Amino acid sequence: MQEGEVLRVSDLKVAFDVNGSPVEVVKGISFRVCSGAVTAVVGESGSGKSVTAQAIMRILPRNGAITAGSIEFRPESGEVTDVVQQMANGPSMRALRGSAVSMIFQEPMSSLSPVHSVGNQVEESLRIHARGAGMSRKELREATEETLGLVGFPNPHRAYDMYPFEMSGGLRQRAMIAMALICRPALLIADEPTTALDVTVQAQIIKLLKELQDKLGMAVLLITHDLGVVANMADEVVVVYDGRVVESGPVEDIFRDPRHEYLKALLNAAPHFDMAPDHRLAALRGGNRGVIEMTKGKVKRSQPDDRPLLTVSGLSKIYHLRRASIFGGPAKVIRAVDNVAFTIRRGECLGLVGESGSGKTTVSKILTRAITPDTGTIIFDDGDEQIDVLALNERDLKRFRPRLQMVFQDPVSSLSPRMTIGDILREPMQIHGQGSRSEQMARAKDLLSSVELGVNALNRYPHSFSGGQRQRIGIARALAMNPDLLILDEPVSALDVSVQAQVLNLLKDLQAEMGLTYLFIAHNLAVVKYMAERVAVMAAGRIVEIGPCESIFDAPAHPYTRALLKAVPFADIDRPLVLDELVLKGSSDPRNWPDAFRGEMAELAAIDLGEGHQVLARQTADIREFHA
Amino acid sequence: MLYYIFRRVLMMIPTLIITSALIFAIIEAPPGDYLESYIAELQAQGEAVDTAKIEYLRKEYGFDKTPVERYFTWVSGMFVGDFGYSFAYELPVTAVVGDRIYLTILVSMATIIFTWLIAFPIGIYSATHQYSWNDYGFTFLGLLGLATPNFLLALVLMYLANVWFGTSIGGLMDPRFVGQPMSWAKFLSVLDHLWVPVIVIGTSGTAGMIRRIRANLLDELQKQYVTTARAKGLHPFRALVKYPLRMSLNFFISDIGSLLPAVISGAEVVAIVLSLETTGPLLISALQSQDMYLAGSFLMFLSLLTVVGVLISDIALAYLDPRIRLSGGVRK
Repeated sequence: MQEGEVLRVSDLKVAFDVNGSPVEVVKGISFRVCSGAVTAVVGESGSGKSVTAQAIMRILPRNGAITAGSIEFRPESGEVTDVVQQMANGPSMRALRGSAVSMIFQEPMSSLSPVHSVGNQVEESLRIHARGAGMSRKELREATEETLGLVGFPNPHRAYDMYPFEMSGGLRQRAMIAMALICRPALLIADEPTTALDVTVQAQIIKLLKELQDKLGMAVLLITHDLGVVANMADEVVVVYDGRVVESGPVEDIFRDPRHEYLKALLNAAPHFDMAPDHRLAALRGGNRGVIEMTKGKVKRSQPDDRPLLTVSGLSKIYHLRRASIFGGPAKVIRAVDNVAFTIRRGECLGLVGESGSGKTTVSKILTRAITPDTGTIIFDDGDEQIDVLALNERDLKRFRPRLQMVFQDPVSSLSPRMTIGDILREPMQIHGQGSRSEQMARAKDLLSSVELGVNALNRYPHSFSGGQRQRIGIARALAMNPDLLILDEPVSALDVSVQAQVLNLLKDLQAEMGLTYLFIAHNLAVVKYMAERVAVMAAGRIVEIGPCESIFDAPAHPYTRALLKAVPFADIDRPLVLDELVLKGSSDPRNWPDAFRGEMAELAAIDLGEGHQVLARQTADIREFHA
Repeated sequence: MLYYIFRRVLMMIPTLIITSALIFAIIEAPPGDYLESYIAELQAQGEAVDTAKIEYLRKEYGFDKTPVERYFTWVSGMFVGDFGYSFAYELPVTAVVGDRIYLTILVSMATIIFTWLIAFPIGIYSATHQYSWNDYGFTFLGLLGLATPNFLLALVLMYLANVWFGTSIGGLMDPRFVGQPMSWAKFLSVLDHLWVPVIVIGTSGTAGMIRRIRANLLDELQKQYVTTARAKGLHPFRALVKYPLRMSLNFFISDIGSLLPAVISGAEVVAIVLSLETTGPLLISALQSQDMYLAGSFLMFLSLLTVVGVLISDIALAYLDPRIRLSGGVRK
């Protein structure tokens, strides 16, 4: 080990026992982490990056084992330990874990025990390690609250007694960080620490991790797939592909002068804000696509025109929570959707952006009549007749359903594992009684080729397909009914960057060929910019800003939109995150917005800024507010 | 929390009222009543039937009234501790059940404790050593235990005990203590006899519980927070007990509700085979002879146990799981 290194991994190999035969997942990875610096390990899912982290902590699943290599670790004491030589659960390894090396995980929702208070779980790390030995209960609690304050809990004393389910995702991740840092480790391993979080919360956590790293002088091993996060945090980068390091070096070299084809492709595959409108993402893996014959028996879809296909107005959905006590008190009301109005023109893609809990999924469920709104109308105009979607009766609704189809976020759970792909694709046709069995099979083949999958997929089951392939099957299923409008609910957020580019390109091609209209729901702004012509931004159940893509991205008028745009990390080391007050305070909470944008729906109006760009604000708002 | 308990107790009342009506209706459902079957029995034995006495009894016990009236008499009696009169024993129900209820509770409690003591360690071991030879062994034994009918096990054990120890293990105490007041010697004798029914009644329950503990714990062991606990440096056993085991307890606690009545009512056949002086055989004979107040009060007792059991398990769940305690609209 060289001077200044905290961790040196040399030629690490890890194999898993799969049904009796060993499968090598990590095939010789080497890298180092220097004290006070961040090393990022970048790769796709399945590249072996998380397994490497588990190997360092010696918390591999029971069927996994380190087969070769060394993991040398040198904490502040200066004594070098080869982690590989230790017993995984022996006293020496347990003394290191959680104390000198600690780890935070991707899922703040499930990483904490739901039945123990946050204080209990954070304090436990201190209690079982040397640092907390001999402390009284009072001292332990004080130390815990101090760390909770350090990671940004506004009221550590209260947070100590709270349970994880009472907290937002961001606060839970802060609690995880507190747990990892309470013993002041020499090395923090962060495994996708921000992937499950909303953009603005991600920005806060990135900032927090950087500040803490400075303050505590620890080394960080960051494991991620997001090059934007890497550009903002890392000093050194290790790119892993299929269990091997394909490129490594200082962050400058990696971004300015990528050498390996895989890294170059990865940098090109991610959509970003500076794309030209006609830019096309370079997918890492291409495929041959058949053009689907959609017009069979029915000529439709004229040129895109200005007559809206879908007109939504005054949509509201209110949830009443149970009363807080028998002694009354006002019943709590949640406005999941608050007076939402928008139109989608034929042949266009409208992006719907917002954080979790902003109401965007509720809107999509209302459109498909899965949820009944309290007020509002939805008019679907197919050119021949106007359909009032919310007024349809059972029979007409069934006739209407093929016009409006959906693609879901999770490619794993949205396909039944017990049905073959052929059955999955034929099911909508069976439900609506379209065609004979052979016609349905022929159509299923067409659909498969249109999403770049071979005919041999028909008799296979979903589990034999990758995430990207499954998502394409989901798209094919949605197309089976020849729909006019496709609601895409976070269709790529569960996919790797390389696969994401492929699916996005596919969606674009299908739209152009078939004249489809999209409602594209996403939290990734770059993806929305790539896909959509117009964007609607949702926060707290309201559409706070809507307009053409360029004006929203270039001249955002609403403080929330601005915060959202500022919080996106760029895969560009020359454009680090600069976070303003609003992002740090929590930009999705209307209470933090300036006066001109706050208030009941009745006091606000959609103010037109030209070219269809509208922002929700008070009528009396100063125009300068919109050009900050 | 107090409000939660209060609400739950309040909800028990309509449940019990409906149950009592159902029980009464079911017992009334077969044609005839106790007196009719009593007369038929007398006639079959060739004895003369004293019509005057029958008429007197009919009046005395309200068989001349409508079922609805009798139902209300029965229910209102229960509130003041009068559970009616057992025709077969010619005693008040309370006197007939009397001692047996304590013995029943004793056997049941011992069985429950036996079940837990055996099932927990084995279940935890099986889950943490999944697919090991010992896991397979326990699984095999467990399935065997599940598949063996209780009464058969009772017969086998009785036979073996007789062959090996030369004693009769039927009954819950040595015959000379039956009807005697409680004494140290009687208590010892009860303990001496207790193990056979406990094993017999508890075996299938234990086997089932091992399977459920194993399945639940295996689910929890996959969870991310277990990894978190390991990454913290906790000793594996402490991590196991504090996190996944604690989480897998939820199922076990909600089980308590059905455990109480299941143990008591599931033991009837065994009690007959082993001639235990518990309440099980009493219920069966009462149902056979249409001794309606005895049977009815008995079933009411079982329903009460169920409802109370569910209440206990709900309160325990709310106590153990903050998600239930705090998100049900109740703040601490």
